[in-house]
Amino acid sequence: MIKKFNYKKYIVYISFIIVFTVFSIVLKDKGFSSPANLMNILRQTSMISVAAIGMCFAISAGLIDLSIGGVISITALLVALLLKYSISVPVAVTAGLGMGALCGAINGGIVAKVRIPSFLVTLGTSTIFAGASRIMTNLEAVPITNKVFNNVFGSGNIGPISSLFIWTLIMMTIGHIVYKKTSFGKAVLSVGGNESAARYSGINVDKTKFWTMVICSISASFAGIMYAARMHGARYTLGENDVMSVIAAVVIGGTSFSGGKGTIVGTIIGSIVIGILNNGLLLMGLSVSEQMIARGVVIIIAVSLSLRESRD
Amino acid sequence: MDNYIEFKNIKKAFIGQLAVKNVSFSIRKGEIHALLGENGAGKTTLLNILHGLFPATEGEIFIGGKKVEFFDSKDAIKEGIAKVHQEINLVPEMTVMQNIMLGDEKRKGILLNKKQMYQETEEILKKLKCKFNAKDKVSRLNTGEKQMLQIAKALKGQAKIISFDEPTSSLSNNEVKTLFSIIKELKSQGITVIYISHKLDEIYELCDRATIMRDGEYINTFEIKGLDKSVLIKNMVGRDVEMFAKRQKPLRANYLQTVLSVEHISGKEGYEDISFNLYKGEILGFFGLVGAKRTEMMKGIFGATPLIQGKIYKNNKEIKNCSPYNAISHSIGFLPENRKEEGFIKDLNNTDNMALASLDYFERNFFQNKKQKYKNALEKGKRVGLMPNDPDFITRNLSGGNQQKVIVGKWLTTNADILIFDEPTKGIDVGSKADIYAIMEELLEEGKSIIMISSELPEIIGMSDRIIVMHEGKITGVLKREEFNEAEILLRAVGGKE
Ligand SMILES: Nc1ncnc2c1ncn2[C@@H]1O[C@H](COP(=O)(O)OP(=O)(O)OP(=O)(O)O)[C@@H](O)[C@H]1O
Ligand SMILES: [Mg+2]
Repeated sequence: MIKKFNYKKYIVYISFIIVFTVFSIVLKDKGFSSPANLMNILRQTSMISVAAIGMCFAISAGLIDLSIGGVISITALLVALLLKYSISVPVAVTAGLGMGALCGAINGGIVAKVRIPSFLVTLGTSTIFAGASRIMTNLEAVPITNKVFNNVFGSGNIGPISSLFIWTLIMMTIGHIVYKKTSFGKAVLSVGGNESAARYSGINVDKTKFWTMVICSISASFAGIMYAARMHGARYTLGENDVMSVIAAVVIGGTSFSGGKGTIVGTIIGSIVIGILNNGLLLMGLSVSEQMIARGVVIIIAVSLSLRESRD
Repeated sequence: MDNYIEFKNIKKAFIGQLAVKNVSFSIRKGEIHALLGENGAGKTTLLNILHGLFPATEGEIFIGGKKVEFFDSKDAIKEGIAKVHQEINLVPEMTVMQNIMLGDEKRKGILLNKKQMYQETEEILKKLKCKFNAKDKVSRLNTGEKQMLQIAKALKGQAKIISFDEPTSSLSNNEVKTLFSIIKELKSQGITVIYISHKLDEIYELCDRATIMRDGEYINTFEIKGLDKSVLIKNMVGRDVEMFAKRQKPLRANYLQTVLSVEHISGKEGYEDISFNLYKGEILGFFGLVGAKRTEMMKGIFGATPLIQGKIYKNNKEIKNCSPYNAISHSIGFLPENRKEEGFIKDLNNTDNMALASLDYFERNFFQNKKQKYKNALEKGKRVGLMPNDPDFITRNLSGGNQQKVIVGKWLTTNADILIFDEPTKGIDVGSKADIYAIMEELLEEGKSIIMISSELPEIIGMSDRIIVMHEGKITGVLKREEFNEAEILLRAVGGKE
């Protein structure tokens, strides 16, 4: 039978190869493709990757979460404060994730019960969460001196591999399994694909939306924990500018912006593409403002390629 | 002109599938030409090529001796080739006028000329005898009204060629009559009409000639006048089939055992004080014209829309705060009339769509059992006669009738013992209708009970144990099988007798 190459499905891998090759050639003398730099890229993108896993669930369900930046900083600050008062690591981490779940429950509760679009709900809560994280320490940074915490969740290595990257792989595996193999994953896809058909098939749409928002927020709070461990401290600015990168990673990764279709593995590749971009533009010696412009342009190109409807 | 529209060696390949194989035939100017064939024969695909929705892989189309090639449906519309789609394609949040004028807004300078647009819309609506207004929001229309709106939209331009893809599948008798007189009027104006339908009576009433396709191939073109129906069917299906809806097995309704009891329910959609019982092993038919609120009422029973008042008992136990989720957990299933909007998830494959209402059933220690789901899809696909019966096929890419079969398969997968079928054979071809009827009888044998809404009188008379007739949201008659009588049913449906 006739097979046509459906480039759209592989767009994330194609952009990955393009971006990687271009920078490898252009930045050959600056050591772009050295193992150390590559591991550096993976380390830098881990937080985006982990947050993007939850965002992939949200976008697949036809939702979006703009409040993850605030969730990242609230969680990081909370964990840092708890560790400062010598609370044990497992308790602090659990409390951090619990904080993420609480933020998600607020978002999800409003989305499911009051029936306001998630875009508007999280536009509102994003400033609430960001404000709350400023109040928490009065804009002060909180250092973390707990070596175990810093090593396990951030700056440590196993052999040559950064623990941040290992966490990314673990989260990706869990995310992928939940997305592909559980009833919840199917419910997410069907709510995003066709909400009324999902309802008529007995899917509990409100419940699915609620838990999707909770999962999205928890994965952001895990990213917050990783940030804190990597930086050996927390500050209200953590995650401030990440929401765009996270959403771009998901869409470049091949998840349909209108819901109903997506991939977790693609999302991770998408976020690595963004990471390469950030790193490459930096090595090219562009100023911060130039980087911002270049990054925006490349993201628009990549996203429009993956959004374009192929004709059949 | 004998060869007004000419298809020459048209071929269309989709990823993994050849939908149209080397089709050549021609259509005369000013005739009403039927396109017939089983589900998945390639009828819609062929029309889509004519209308520029996608290009043919090979082959050419000539209109009036001139080769045409459209890259876009807008090109085709400019050339006067209009289409009434098989699936409803409207923007629900816009008004009737906005939908009709979409993409072709009238302007006065840089501003929209609303007055002119309303005027033109009102004219078209009046011509079609539509009961809704130009200012109504589309989301408030029912399926039949939406279908009329689709037709109005196609009739707007100065069309030379109009095609109808199963236009009557959601219309009531009266609307069908109006539609037919419009189509005949179009013909008398010299407009060429292409007409797809699975209802042969319509073909005989309306069409001059019919072209039959099977399995993507051209089979034959016939003059309708004087043609035997069985010849037509044999050419379509390739074998003889049972044409009439009738019960093949002994009736088995047990009137001593009520499985569903509906008491005095009303909803804001306009159905009022509805009470009836469903007995074990029966098919309870619901007949009515558009506006009878049968679908709306069933949605209320299924919990998809709230009830204002009334109670529902399943096996003598009240079902409280009903939602589809709750109804399904009480083993009530509902096959909606509107398959694209309510029936299936577009990006999922047949395996997942058929499993959708039974996700709990397929769960083993948190995980979906993929193998079992795949096996189920294969088995149900075979039972409903799905073509192609490929569990990995994305449901959206199936032909209209085959999508319907997937949704039937979804409800066969659940263990629901009360099934509400809203127009179950909508878009299903002559050959497969009998399969659906047989499946319904098998369900009765398994101890289940069925409520069937149908707007086809022969179907409802042939299959039901009892018929409830509704008119404008109220029950106007309950008939036992021995009392079935077309005239009586129609009289009650128009509210002529209480
Ligand atoms: N986008 C697509 N991708 C793959 N296959 C497709 C696509 N669209 C249609 N097909 C296949 O082409 C074949 C013909 O479909 P088509 O919709 O033309 O049938 P039809 O004759 O209109 O049937 P029906 O009476 O059920 O509407 C079907 O087997 C269908 O699965
Ligand atoms: Mg069709």
